[in-house]
Amino acid sequence: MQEKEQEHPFYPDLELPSLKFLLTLKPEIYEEKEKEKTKEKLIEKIENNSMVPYYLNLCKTFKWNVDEKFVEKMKKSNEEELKKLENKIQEAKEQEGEIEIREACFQKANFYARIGDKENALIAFKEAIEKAVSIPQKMEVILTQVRIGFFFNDRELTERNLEIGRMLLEECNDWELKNRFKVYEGYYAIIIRNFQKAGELLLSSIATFTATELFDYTKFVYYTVLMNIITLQRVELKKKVIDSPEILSAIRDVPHLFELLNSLYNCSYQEFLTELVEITYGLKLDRILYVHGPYFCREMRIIGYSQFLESYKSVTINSMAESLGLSPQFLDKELSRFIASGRIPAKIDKVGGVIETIRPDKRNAGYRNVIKQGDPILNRIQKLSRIFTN
Amino acid sequence: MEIEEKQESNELDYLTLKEIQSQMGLIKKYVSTEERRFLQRVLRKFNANRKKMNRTILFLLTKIYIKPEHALFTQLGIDIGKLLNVSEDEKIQIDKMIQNEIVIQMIKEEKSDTVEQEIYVLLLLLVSLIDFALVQNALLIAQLLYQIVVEQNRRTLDDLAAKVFFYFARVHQLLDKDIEIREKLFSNLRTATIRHDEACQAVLINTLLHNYLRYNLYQQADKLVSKTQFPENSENAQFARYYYYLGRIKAIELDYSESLQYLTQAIRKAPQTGAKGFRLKATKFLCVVQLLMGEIPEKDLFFQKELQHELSPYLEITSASRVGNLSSYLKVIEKYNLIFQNDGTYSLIMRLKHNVIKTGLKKICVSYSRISFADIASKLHLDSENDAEFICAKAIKDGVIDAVIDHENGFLKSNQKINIYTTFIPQKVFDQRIKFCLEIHNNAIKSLQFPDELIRQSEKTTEDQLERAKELAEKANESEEKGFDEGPDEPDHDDI
Repeated sequence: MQEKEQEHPFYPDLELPSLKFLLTLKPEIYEEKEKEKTKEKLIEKIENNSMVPYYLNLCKTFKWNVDEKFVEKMKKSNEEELKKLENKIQEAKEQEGEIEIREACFQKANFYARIGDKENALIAFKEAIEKAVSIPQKMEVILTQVRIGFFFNDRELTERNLEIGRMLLEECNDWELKNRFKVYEGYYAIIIRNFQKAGELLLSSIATFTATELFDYTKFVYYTVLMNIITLQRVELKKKVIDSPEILSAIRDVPHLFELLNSLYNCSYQEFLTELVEITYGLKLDRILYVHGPYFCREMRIIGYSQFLESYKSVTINSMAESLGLSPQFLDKELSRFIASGRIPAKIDKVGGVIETIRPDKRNAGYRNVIKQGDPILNRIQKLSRIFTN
Repeated sequence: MEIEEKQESNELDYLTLKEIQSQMGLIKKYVSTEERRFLQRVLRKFNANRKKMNRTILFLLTKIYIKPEHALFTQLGIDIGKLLNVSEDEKIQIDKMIQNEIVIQMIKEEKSDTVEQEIYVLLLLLVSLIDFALVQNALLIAQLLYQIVVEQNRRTLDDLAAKVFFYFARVHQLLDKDIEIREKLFSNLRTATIRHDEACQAVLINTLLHNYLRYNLYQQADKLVSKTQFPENSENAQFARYYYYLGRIKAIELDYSESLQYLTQAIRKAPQTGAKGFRLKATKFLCVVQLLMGEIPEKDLFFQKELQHELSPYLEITSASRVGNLSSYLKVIEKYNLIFQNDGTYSLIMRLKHNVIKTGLKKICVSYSRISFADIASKLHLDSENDAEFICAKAIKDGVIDAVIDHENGFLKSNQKINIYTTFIPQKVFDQRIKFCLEIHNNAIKSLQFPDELIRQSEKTTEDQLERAKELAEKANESEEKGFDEGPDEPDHDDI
């Protein structure tokens, strides 16, 4: 069974939505020439897989002219294949055994996934999962449905299937499947901005990465490093990311990533900020990271500034601006913004041109917390107490 | 299909008739035993029954429960069929239903001569007329009901009379005739207060306040509030309305902290589901008053499911005020001008301009320990350094920021937060709370009793036991919302 499954390439092809996304970017970010090349690549893939519904969808979105002959050709080949698959299912039902029926159903569902027909695919998969018996087979169906969810940006579908997958995997002991599933969950966590979870999941699956249908190894390292650089503390970051052999093997394939990581750890802030700018540009080209671009940049800046300020009780604005390679006015604006929202524990003395850091006073903070959270609870107890009959 | 539907609706009608019959039975019980809980059961189901009403049922109910000699027919000569605008089909249906056994039985049943039953049926008629948008006809019924209620002086009529007054005022409001009835409402309020008729008092005070606020007569409303005492044992719905009106009055009078408290209480007392319009209005005012106080309302206020869409202009105002950016604030006001005027929040929002500046100032105070006035002026887009200094001075006096002005050197210096553990405040505050908890604990132990003493002798049947259990749970729910004002004192959150 294992070999048979590895024979099918994994549908739907997740490179397509990434290409589609690139076409939606503004010309300043992604040049027209590149767009042309991307469009060609996209059409080529559509042709290879005869993806009629997806092609029509794209034409509507981008207002391309529908190439009727192209569509006709693809439609014909689709119909033929569909007929063949239907026949196979009929045969299997009449003559052969359970295994063949299941295989045929699964192939039909895969076919729909391949051509990008969402509704029919989901219906066919429902059938297929009923026929599936062992957990690995069910998981294959679940994972394909999750991929469909990623393909069409359908969060509900993805979430539902991830839930089901989680429950199924509790009973299973197939570590390969579990690791693959972790990568899927990590990918989804990135989409919903749960960077903490994403970082953990991706980091733990780095030694056993096999889910190449989602993205290749370089991209995987890219996501892993980005997620972890935001969420991990210095010591952890050094141990698990900077010194990790798996990450080191692929990190240089991504421009600026290695420099970003090291400059943060080595406290060379000027370099850090320049690399950060480059990386943020790169984020805009990635389908799932582009919504998190501003957030990511802001969080990294906060990490940079707080790391710098951690060593100082007070530092002049000018000297901080110089170390960071920023102008004092810009730095002042940034710091006042972050301090006002409570992200950086410091205070600016504009008259003296000095920034003073505040060490957290746990006792006072704890006291305030107790009062703030305790009072509503006491109120509610008091209301309940009115029921006493004396 | 149509026939099936008709049969289904017929079935529903019969069920509703049976329901009303049981309600009538409860009312009879109430009148004879004078135990409020029967009436409360009836009133609780009132709204549900209101939704089930249709013309055929109403026609039959009036036929069954209102004697032909009643003032409804003699004095006003009202033909119920015309009143309800009964259609031909429905007439046929009514005739058919009259032949039905259930209905015949109901007509034959011996009814007692209670005013309460009549009033209940007429009330259902009235609210249904309002629901069917036959407001002129509703007016006739309302006036009749009013007459009946005013002539009586029975204590058992109190809650029903309260409902009558409410709908009486409502019908007049729908027809824009509410100014005429103010005198009447006042005299009824006097009567109700003399008779210690708390339900009527509460409803009448609320209707009068509503009346005043509708015409922006805030001063008169304030006088009314100061001269009357709202009865303590009223229902939550009345309390919710009362606090809402109070909140609005206080907001106009610039007493924002009081207003905030009242509006929060109003929302708390309002039902969690349903009453969407009320909660929406109250939330809108709550948001604006919070902004006027310089606090930023929390985000979950705006993201409650049903209210989200209507609250979006307020969300934008909040974002503009939060950042402290005057220009974007003015833009938002222009954009949603009409909406704010319709909501009645426009005047309050105009006052927000100063608050935007104050919020900006607060943010500066948090980030900077010392900052010159020139910098403040440039950050807040103010005209001059002097302006900035004066605004800071006012803000310090109002307690918005905790700072000191150094005039000669031209800067603002914010005060450091003192370690609170160097004072006796934690000790006092904790002591208060510990005492409070111990008291509740002692009370709880004292009120532990053997179960026998709780069940009265007359209620041995399981149905009554279930009722009792339900009532106890409801009492706990009610008291959950009532007892807000009686918690321990909140400590002063500002550090000295």
